Amino acid sequence: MQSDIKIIERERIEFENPTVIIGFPDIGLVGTIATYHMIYQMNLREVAYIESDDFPPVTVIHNGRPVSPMRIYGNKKLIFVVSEIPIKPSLLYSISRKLVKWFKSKNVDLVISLGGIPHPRRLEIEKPKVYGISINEYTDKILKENNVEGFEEGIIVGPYAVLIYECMKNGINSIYLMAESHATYPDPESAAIIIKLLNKILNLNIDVKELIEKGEEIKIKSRDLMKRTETALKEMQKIQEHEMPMMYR
Amino acid sequence: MKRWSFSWDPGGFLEPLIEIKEYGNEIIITADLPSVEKNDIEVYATENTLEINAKMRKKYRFERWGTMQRGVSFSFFRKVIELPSQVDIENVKSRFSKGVLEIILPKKSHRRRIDII
Repeated sequence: MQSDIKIIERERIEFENPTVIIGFPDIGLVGTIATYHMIYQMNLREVAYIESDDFPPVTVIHNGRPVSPMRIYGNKKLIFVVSEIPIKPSLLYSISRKLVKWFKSKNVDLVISLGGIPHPRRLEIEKPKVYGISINEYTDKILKENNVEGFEEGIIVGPYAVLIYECMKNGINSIYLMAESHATYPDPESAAIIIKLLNKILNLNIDVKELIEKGEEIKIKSRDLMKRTETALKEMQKIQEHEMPMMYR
Repeated sequence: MKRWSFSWDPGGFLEPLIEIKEYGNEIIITADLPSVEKNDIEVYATENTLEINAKMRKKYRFERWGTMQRGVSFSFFRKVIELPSQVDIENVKSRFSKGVLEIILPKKSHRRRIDII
């Protein structure tokens, strides 16, 4: 049964072919930490929120007011989609399709999903590497111009797996950036690396100094979300990402 | 009936995130211990359990969080782990790097190689 997902806009914004950045809870909470930092640094407003009767009965309280755990922030040129709850596997398709339909209605130019890719020797890596998945020649060029190594063969599982596929089907330019990270521990360092790359790609100037300085506190504050995310990722068989696809050539 | 368990304790303890990997002859446990120095970690092992206690470099108080939580200063990590197999506590090794504690516990087993004929 198709879930009834709604995107409710808080205000009318005349978007100008915006870029969308998505930070759903995933490996190392890389995308979540990176998007929250960018939203905070850019002082962006909540412009819309996502709701569904199929969501767990969770309301988040921020600044003394109840808000939806899945929210959209932005301005005319940039849109950020964040979630404070891991997305249930049963909702991944409905949410992705709804978002892609909304992106299309807003003439979105590019969707960038931010995530982590677990590295078993993460502790020994000084500078995590970022890999990218691209859907067409336009997005191939973005990766190439920014020296992002492509992901040629493999399996991806989770919210971004569905989202990038839906974007491709609907002709929306999309890339999925994955920074090497801890699998089950929040990784602010990897989030900082991915923000630095976004600064290059989108010509932004977001400072990551505070993110690095507050890294330990961020790790402490995000323990519970990381734990819930780990459970959700297990449920959606995230482990499959380590498996080899049927490479017959 | 399973009791609710929180990841924090009003006494100022936080439960660290941990990862347990079980291999043929050893168990590797890692724990994420941000804001902790190596000398402030205590690890105790029995054949069946591992206890991690670590003092944080500073106290964390989240004054806008929850109700009773807002009055708690968190300054320790504590976790007691039931091990999936019995271990040889005389040969446990550990290291601490970039806020992550890694403990390698050899299994107390009578594993021996089988000859292939």
